[in-house]
Amino acid sequence: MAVAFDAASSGQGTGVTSLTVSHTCSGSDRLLTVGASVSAGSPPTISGVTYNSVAMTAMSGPTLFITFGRYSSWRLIAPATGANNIVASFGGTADEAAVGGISFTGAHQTTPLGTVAEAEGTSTAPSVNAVSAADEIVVDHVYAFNSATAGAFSYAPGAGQTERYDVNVSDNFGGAAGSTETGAASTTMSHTITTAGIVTSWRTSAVGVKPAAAAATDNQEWLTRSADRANQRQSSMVPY
Amino acid sequence: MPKLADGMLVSISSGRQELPILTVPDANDSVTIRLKRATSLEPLNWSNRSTTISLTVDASYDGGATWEFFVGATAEGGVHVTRTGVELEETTLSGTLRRGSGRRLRATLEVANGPLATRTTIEAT
Repeated sequence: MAVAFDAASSGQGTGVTSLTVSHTCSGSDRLLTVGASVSAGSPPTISGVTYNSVAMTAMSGPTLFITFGRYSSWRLIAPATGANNIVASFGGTADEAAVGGISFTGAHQTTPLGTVAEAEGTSTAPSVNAVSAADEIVVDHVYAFNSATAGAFSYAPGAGQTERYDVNVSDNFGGAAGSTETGAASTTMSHTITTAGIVTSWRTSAVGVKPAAAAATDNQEWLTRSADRANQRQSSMVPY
Repeated sequence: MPKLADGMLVSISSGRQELPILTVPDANDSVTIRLKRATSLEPLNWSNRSTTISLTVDASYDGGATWEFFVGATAEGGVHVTRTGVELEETTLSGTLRRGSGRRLRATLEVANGPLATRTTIEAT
């Protein structure tokens, strides 16, 4: 079964201690990924993310970056179908906070992800290189903030990527985005940030989503069983 | 940027407060709710750190016949100084609605350890 994009969601706030957004998952062999990040003078911890009250597993972080940011990304295998809430909880008040969800169908239900690639920097060009394969979809979640001067954020995804969410925090000091791209041996996930602010710091992570166990397995089983039957017929023949 | 609601500074008691239902123009998809916070200049707004607000916003896509959760947040009061050294004047919460006609918003504030004074503004862009 091929892995496919299902749905995206996002929300943002200032001066908050938690953020909740609605996300609707559908289909079979589901996987939900979430980016949840904050910025502040003393960035609060990101104590956890849940979907439909089920704890998600951290893929990247939570990690303190460039002094004022705290970044995290999360995943959940087989999230409940229907409209449910993604809840990100913080250990204190964030100057800015953003949450974005991207879900998939057709994802492997035991080992759905490859190796998570992570990067951070100070520029308007976040970029990270993920190792994946042609039958995978690479997903990334990026968060950026301005340290000195406000300037509304917007993100333009790199070539071959499809932007799934693009969030400018309303005080114009932070922003987040998420995108997907068909996998390859090496997939660069990048964005160009447009902002009037200065000193833009970012952190990002990307990972390949693996397809569910292929139908070829069934064919293989059928072939094995056929071969077994042929062997049984041969062994039951009486030699002359 | 249409202001769907521009409230006055009011005192809100502990408990659940439902704001009036608002109509979202068809041309606007992004919604921001703003709550005034305490600052040195306005120290009486939501001044107590232990006073918390749980803000929930529901959306209707059929003129108010049915409702679904849209976005939510929790926040605590008191003066919050940001990393740029200024005092945060507002707690905000934003999300993007699905496109369509007949969209409505219904915001609910759940206040603990109140009362608090704040001003609520809701904008659509």
